[in-house]
Amino acid sequence: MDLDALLHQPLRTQIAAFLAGAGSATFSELKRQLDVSDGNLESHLKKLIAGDYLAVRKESGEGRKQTHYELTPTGREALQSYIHALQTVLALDTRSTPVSAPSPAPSPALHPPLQPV
Amino acid sequence: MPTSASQQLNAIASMMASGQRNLRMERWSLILWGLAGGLLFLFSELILTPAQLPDLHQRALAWLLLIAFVLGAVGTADWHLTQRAKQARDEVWSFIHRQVLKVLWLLMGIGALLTFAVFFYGGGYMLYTAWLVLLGTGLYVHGLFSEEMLEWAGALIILIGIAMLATQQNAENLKNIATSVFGIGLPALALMLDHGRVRSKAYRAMQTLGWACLVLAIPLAAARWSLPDHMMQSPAISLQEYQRLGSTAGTQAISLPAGTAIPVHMEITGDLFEAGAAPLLLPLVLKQPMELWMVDGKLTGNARQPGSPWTKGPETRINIPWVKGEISPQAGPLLKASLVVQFLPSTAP
Repeated sequence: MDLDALLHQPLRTQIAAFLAGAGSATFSELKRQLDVSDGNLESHLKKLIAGDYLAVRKESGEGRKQTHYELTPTGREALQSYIHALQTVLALDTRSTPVSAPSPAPSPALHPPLQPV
Repeated sequence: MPTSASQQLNAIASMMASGQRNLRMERWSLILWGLAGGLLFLFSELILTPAQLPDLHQRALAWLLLIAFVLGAVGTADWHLTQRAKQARDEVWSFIHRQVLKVLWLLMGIGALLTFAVFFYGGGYMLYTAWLVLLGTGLYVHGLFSEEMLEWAGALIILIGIAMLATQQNAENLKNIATSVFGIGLPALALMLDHGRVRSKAYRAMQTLGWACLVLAIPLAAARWSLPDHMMQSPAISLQEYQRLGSTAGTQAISLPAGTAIPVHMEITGDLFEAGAAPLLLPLVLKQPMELWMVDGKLTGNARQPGSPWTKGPETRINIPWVKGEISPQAGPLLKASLVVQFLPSTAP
């Protein structure tokens, strides 16, 4: 099963998932939500933008200019495909695992086994 | 892999939920709207009264303008404060936030128009409930995209509004509860906001229960304690005794048994009928015993049914469900109407 290389990284998955729910967010909002350093967030945002998964919109209202990030249709589609792929992996495993086998409790935190790309 | 896939899916779901619920209710918004609404309710019987503005159209318009002014002023102040805070936090007005704001303004507009319409079409008894249901709906909708606590409080406010009608509270209690929900409840809710932290249902239920006790206990206790102590024990004298004494000084409780004749003097206005030469009198008879409280020969508005506690300002609800016109060669024109008069004892504790 091939998983999207760009999304198969914890922080980038979180960015995409948050934007899928919120619609759009500023750099500060993402930083607050994900609790990461500026440099780390910026490098992952650049990768998502380069892959055409994220679009950047600059708005100048009252006060200083704000930069918004939002998922592009490509990014939204990629996230859906990624979720579908994960569900397939999970379903395949459930079929091959004995019923009596204990399953670890799911955690909302992203897990380290997923290696950064 | 399966474990991490499961965890990945959970994490994605959790993050999407965070994104969907990333709206924030500012504390000052609840305080501003709560105090404005509470003050309007509190002074609703003191400002723009029939005595101050006898003309119904002028009074209705004055109320509409007052509500529009207050909502406009508070809404503008709230918008500027929120805008400033968003800029300081480098946040944007998200699409969801803009849509929720539109819903809130729509609900407030409905409330203002409903208040205006009540002057012409009646239904004033339901006005406090209507405002509470609109407020509750607004908070609930906001809570769907922000904080769980707002969802709980919104649903509870809707229930309080409906319960007020179902238990037939008198207008004084309705006003006090609505004032309390806005003036005390919303600022208290502002202090309970926790930026959408995930809490157990039991925790939220306890929080909501505490909040409900706060907003309901104060107005209901006020209704109870506003009665003078001596009213609690005073025995009522009969109407015959009252007439025999002939004295009107001091305080007295008068007992009117069922069957007592209560002539109702009617005053009729409008452009269709006039009373004619004779005074318009409805010879009604009391259907259930009542006790009335008098001070220096004047009714105070306090009343009770024998054995029940005294209540302040119990009311009668008058309803005319139907009016039917007939005309016949024998009797000529005749108008029949059904008049329903209900006593609304206060259910204050």
